[in-house]
Amino acid sequence: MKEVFEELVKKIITKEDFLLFIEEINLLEQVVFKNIEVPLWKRVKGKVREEFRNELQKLEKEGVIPASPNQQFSFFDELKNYLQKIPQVKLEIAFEPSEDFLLRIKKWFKEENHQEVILDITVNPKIVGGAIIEYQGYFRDFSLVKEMDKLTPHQILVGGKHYE
Amino acid sequence: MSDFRSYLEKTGEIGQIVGLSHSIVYISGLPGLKPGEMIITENGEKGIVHGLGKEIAEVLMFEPEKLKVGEEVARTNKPFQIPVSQGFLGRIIDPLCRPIDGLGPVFGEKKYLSIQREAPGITRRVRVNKPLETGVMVVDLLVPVGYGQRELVIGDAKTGKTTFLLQAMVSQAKEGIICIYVGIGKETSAVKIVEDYLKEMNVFDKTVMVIATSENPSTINYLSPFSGMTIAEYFRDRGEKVLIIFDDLTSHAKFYREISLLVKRVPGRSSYPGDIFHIQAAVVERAGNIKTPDNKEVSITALPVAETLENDISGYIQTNLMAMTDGHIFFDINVFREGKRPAINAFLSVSRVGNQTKTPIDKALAGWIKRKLVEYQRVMGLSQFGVELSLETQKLLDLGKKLEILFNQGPKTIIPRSLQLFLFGLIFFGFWEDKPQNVMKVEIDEILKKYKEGVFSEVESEIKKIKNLEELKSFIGEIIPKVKKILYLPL
Repeated sequence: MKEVFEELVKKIITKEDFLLFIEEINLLEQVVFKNIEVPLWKRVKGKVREEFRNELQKLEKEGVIPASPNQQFSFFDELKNYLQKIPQVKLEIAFEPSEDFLLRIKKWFKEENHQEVILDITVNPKIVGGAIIEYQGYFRDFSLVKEMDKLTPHQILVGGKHYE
Repeated sequence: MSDFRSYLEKTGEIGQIVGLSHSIVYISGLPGLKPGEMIITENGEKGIVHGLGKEIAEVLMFEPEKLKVGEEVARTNKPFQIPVSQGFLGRIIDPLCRPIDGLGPVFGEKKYLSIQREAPGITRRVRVNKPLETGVMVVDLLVPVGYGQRELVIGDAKTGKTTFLLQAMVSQAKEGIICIYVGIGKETSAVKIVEDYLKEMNVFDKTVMVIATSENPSTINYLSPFSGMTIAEYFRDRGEKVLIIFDDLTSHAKFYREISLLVKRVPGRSSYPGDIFHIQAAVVERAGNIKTPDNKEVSITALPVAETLENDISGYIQTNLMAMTDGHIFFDINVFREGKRPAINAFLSVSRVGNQTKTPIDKALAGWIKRKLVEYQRVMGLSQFGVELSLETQKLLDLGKKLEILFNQGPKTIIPRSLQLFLFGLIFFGFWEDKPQNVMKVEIDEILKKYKEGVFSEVESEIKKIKNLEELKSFIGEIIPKVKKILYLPL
């Protein structure tokens, strides 16, 4: 079961993805006991993302999702609990990040920490560059604006060199 | 906000409010948080870390209505501190040192001090060796208090405890001692009475009132004695003698119980948490007579108050407080009902270190009074049977009654030691022996009035030199004609 969950989590990158995923699971839990003769992926047609529906269809065909409604309900409940335990990384950056950039950051965290994370991205151009990171209670400000604050007006004007 | 940001950058740790329950907030994050540490929220509210769980920390906040779930929190890596200033004299402040008297901000230099400081160690402490005059005769003679002593004032509600404490404050403030009144869970009207009394007696500028009313959150009330003691230590460290009054610590215990039950600590006896003794003893222990580095003696005298119900002094908090103080002054409801003021039961009151501060004449006089009062109480029982009493017994009864009259003292009457010696010298000499009790009452009032006018200023200076009872008797004998002249001179 854990392997299945881990596989699903790989597709969740940002906090928005996470919230959407949780919402879709909630929706699944609502339909678990209705029209049980119809497969789940068909029951949620038009209610969830197509991508999510395809994944659901795959899991149902492979028999990963149990057949009985009661077992299905507890499967989704466990999945939700698993997702909620994944740590979030708050990241304040100065630009709108690309999908590829986010994937690279997520991968970096996985390699460094051996743990999946969910990225909570805030775009704040005021920090100029760099990033402000909050992770598991730790706060680090690696923003460019902080570095610039330390410079004298002279250093800013002449490109970092101080002429007498 | 800027405070929050700078602390955040300094400590590099961030947390979030994940739960709110009255004045207690639950915080996740902040991995290096320590108990007793001060935290700051993004809107600048400060709090004290009360307990640490695996994932969640319990924090006491003082203005919970300003907080919301999800708000960010930073560590400060400092214990909880309050800004203390010389400008607090003559002001009413709350336990967070914010003025609440409507007179605007407190100006002047402020020093940030931790509210939880360690009590002075044994090597810094000095024996209690100087008497502290409360201006209340029954206390000064029979249950004497010394500078640096911790004396519990215990009794039922409305038996005159606060009145006595105010008299002690006035008497001390007039001698230049800094007085701090810490009100815990008081009603605003009661605070007003205290303020008016101190102003009327012209000592308000020598006092600091640290007030937490019953309208404040329990966390503010819990903080009051700590803040009061920190302010007392600030003045003591400047070389001043301080008298601090905690009115009252039974209410404080109740507020702490409320907090402990809210954070789901295991309740102990009477639902109080197990550390209630430690919490209160740690505050009271900070009082005492100590030596400064330049060999000067400074002191904090603490008069904590405990309230009882129908004279029951065996309650949990009451006995705790008795154990952490150097004696107690017991305000007896039965004595109060007999109409005696102050309603102090001198026989059930104890002063463990006060007696060592007394001069031989005070000790001798107190011994004589106690002996006479014991004999009086014994024959009082006998006289109720209606038996015919000997002349000697009748005299003893009369003396006992007259001693009680002398000990009766109005709420605004402060009697200094010299006057106390003079009045008891008169009774010891037998000045009122053949006079009816009502005449004695009138004469005492007249003496007090004349004393205030300065008529007895010579007597005052002479009486201070007297060493023993015999000398006192002969001195009184010498000045009797003068006293008679003053008392009976036609207008």
